Amino acid sequence: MNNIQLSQSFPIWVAVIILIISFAIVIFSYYRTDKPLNRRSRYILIALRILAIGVILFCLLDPTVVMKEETIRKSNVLVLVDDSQSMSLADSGEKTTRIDDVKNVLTSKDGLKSIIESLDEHFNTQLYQFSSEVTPVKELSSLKAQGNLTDIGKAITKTVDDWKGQPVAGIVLITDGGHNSGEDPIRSAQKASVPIYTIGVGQTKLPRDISVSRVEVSPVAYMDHALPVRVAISSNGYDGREVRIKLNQSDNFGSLKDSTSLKLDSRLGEQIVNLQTKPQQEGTIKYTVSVSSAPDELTQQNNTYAFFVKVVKTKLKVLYIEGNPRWEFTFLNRAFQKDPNVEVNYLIATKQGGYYPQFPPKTFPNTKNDFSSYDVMILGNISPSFFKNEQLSMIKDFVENRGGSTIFLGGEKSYGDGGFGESMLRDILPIDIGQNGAREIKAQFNPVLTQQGMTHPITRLSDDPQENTAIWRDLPPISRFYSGIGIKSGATVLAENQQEKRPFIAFQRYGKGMVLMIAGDDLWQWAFGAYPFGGDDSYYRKFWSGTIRWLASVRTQADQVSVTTRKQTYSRDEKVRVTAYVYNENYDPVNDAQIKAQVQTPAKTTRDLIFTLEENGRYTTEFSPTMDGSYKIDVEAQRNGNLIGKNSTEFIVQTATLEFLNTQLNEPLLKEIADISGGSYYKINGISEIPSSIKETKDTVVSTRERSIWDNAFVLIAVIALLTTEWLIRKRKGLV
Amino acid sequence: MMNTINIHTPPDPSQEGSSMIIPLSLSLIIPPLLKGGRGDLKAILRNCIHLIICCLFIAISAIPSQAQDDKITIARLKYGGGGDWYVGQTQIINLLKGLRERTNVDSATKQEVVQLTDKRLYSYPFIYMTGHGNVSFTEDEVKALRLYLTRGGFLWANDDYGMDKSFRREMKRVFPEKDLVEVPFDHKLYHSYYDLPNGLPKIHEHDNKPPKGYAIFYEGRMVVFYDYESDIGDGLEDAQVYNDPPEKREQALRMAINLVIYVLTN
Repeated sequence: MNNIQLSQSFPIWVAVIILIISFAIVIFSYYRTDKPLNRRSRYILIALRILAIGVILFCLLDPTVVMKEETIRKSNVLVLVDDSQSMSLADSGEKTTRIDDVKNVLTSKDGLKSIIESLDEHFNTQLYQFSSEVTPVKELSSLKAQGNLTDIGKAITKTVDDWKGQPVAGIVLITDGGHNSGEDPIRSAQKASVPIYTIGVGQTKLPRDISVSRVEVSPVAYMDHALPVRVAISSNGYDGREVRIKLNQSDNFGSLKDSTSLKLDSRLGEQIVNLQTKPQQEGTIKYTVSVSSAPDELTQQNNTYAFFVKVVKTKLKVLYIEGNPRWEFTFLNRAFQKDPNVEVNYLIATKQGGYYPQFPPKTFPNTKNDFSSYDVMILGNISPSFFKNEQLSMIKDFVENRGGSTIFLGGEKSYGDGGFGESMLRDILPIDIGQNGAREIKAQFNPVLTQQGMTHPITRLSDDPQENTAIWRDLPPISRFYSGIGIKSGATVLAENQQEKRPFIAFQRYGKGMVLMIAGDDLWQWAFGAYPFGGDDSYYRKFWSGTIRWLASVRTQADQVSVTTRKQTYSRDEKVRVTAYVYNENYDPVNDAQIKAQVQTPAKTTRDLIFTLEENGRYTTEFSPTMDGSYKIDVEAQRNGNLIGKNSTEFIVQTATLEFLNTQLNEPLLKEIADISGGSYYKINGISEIPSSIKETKDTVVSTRERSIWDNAFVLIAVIALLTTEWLIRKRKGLV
Repeated sequence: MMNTINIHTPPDPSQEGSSMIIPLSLSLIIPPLLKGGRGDLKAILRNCIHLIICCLFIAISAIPSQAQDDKITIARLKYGGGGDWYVGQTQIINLLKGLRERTNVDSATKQEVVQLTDKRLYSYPFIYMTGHGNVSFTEDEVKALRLYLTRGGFLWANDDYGMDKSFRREMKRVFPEKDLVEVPFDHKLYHSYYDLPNGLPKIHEHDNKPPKGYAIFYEGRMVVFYDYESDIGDGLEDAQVYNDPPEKREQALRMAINLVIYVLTN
């Protein structure tokens, strides 16, 4: 397998030409010497000189000998063992835990050799443990299932990365498939391009267990008003058993707020119970929902669920400006009067350009600050020419800089020729009206929800998507539509007029606030027109209360200093990323604020947090919680020694709930990982098949060595010897 | 400010409904012409006759769709019994005109007629009834009226003379638990647009009794207003009908406008 390579610096034919030319010169020279030479001497001299030139040329060509060596090496098999907490469970009917089962099958000698030993015959076996991280196993016998999360995707990606460039014949993935964090394991398996042999641990049928699987509650509630809490209970193996579900406020007394009992029935899937409480104080309140436990439950860790609710005292303030008395106003006014959480100020324009005197405040807000006491503003059927320019710019400022929200509620004066589409408020509208106003279409239609509209809090009149669609279909039709040209980029359409294929309800963020546009009127028919069909005004009221609440919630985040965590609930080994926003009184971002921040742990100790500026008034920090419980972060921003503002946020560290949420063996996932990667799936008792099913890839490693031939003393000596001999002969013949 | 009277004539929008007919007729005229073409004169003639009949139908059926017009209108209640529910055909039209001219209420030019059992009732949150004689509702109408009023509807009853006894009897059937109570002069109703410090004006003299405004309130909202011994409706008629003096007619119109504005804003 050896061969010789020549230098690439000049081609061989150059060497040949040089050789021929030198040959010719040498012969010519030796035939025309001053003293005559006999034939023998001449030939010897010519030969010596040519040889010397030839050797030098040979060196210049840099000939190297390339030597190839082939060796055969064992390829690797990576064995990944899940050590997350779900592996510490013992399935029903089993005495040993899942992790102990795994240890047993890997090391027990079936016949002569254990699985690991038989693998070692053909492969290099590398053992890893994984949960949220992946590390090599030091001692298999002392492996414990303590990981708080399971990230199968990361386990695959990281080990494949570590062994990049090395032969890997396969990955043996031993897990219950309870993937609950990180990247999609199926994608990782696809990218890995290594066959993955998955080994399922545990039982596919649901273990006997009762759990609080979900809690639905509004994150913001109003003091002294009922706060409904929807709790989903999952159970298996306890049908007919009566359990009690309790809602407790996690104050010093853990006082019970509500409770109910439920007869378990696993055939129903999740069972929903409705609890409620009436928050009595302002601030962030922690609640706990718990379901009574039963004997022999798989785990009791999933029988409680904690959450925070922000309780606010003030009602939402709405300013409703209407161009003329109309039924839209009448019925909306009545709906607002029935909503205890909304306080509305009305301005109805008169023909003379003033406002009807029966409603406070009777005048348009005088200053931007007066304006910012409102959360939401509604502009009814009113022409922009009714307002002074500075009033229009105050409306724009209210949205853009104060985080207020504005609703445009149809009418030909506001959408038609000379309407807002031609005013300075044109920019804030989510729908492009065009130059001469929207086209007014008098034809009955039922708005149809878009995909976003199905689930958006504004248009979600029922939590059941099918029911929601039915509700919208059955609402009394809208009889007048304003057809815009198109939707602005960045705007979201919630409902549309399908006959016209144009948006009916759409919103967009403008600066800090939101702008919602309803491209029609006669929404009051949803209230009054529903009665002849056996309906009532509840959907009309729900629509409006949902709309006002959602738009106002945008504003509650518009404090000058705000602090948030990305999630409300973390597990112990997750990093909590905390973000603070700082704005000045004009709501411009402050990039040179000094931020003092502290985190209070469940043990009531405090620690300082150091925030760093990212951009545009956004500051972040990370924090690793060490114990379960509630944490509170207080942030205070200063600039040049002056306080800008303070705020706080809370989050819960609730470890292991995720691990115990779905505890049965996730066989479909493991099968798919095996399929997509070209491996196969086995149950744990079939693990003995593994050593023979992994394809043994004979791996030949070729190593090459190069050696220069000319680069040694003999070549030099040869050249010197040739030239010296030639010189000696010439001396003797008297040619020197 | 509120007492200035602006006289200006708004554009007449009464022709709006007919615009629908043109595209519809075109869509009907073209297919038969294509089908029956090729010089067959008889067929074209037949199709044209069909077409004319169709157009007539559409024209007729387009009339009720005017009710869906979003302009504010008032529906006259057609009730059973011996009463002349139809009396005073210019009353509502003049009130709507007054609203249009003096306020910025975008009112229609026509009145509507509705029965309590009609589903269209819920297109009109404000209905008007008047008459001289015996008002009587069927059992269904009583139920329908109660539903209508408690769910957001409003009834203005104008005693043209002689309706009092039967009206009170029928209202007791609708609201057995409620009485018609007199509306005090300082009530918002008398100050909603024009200031009427003396309450309900006296328009037409019958029995030398003082005019009284009564109302039924349901959950705090006025659902029925009943003017007794005043006959506001009389004063809303065209001037030549009863020869009421201009100042009486002005008072009647102001009272009626106040009532509409009050209902719209409460």
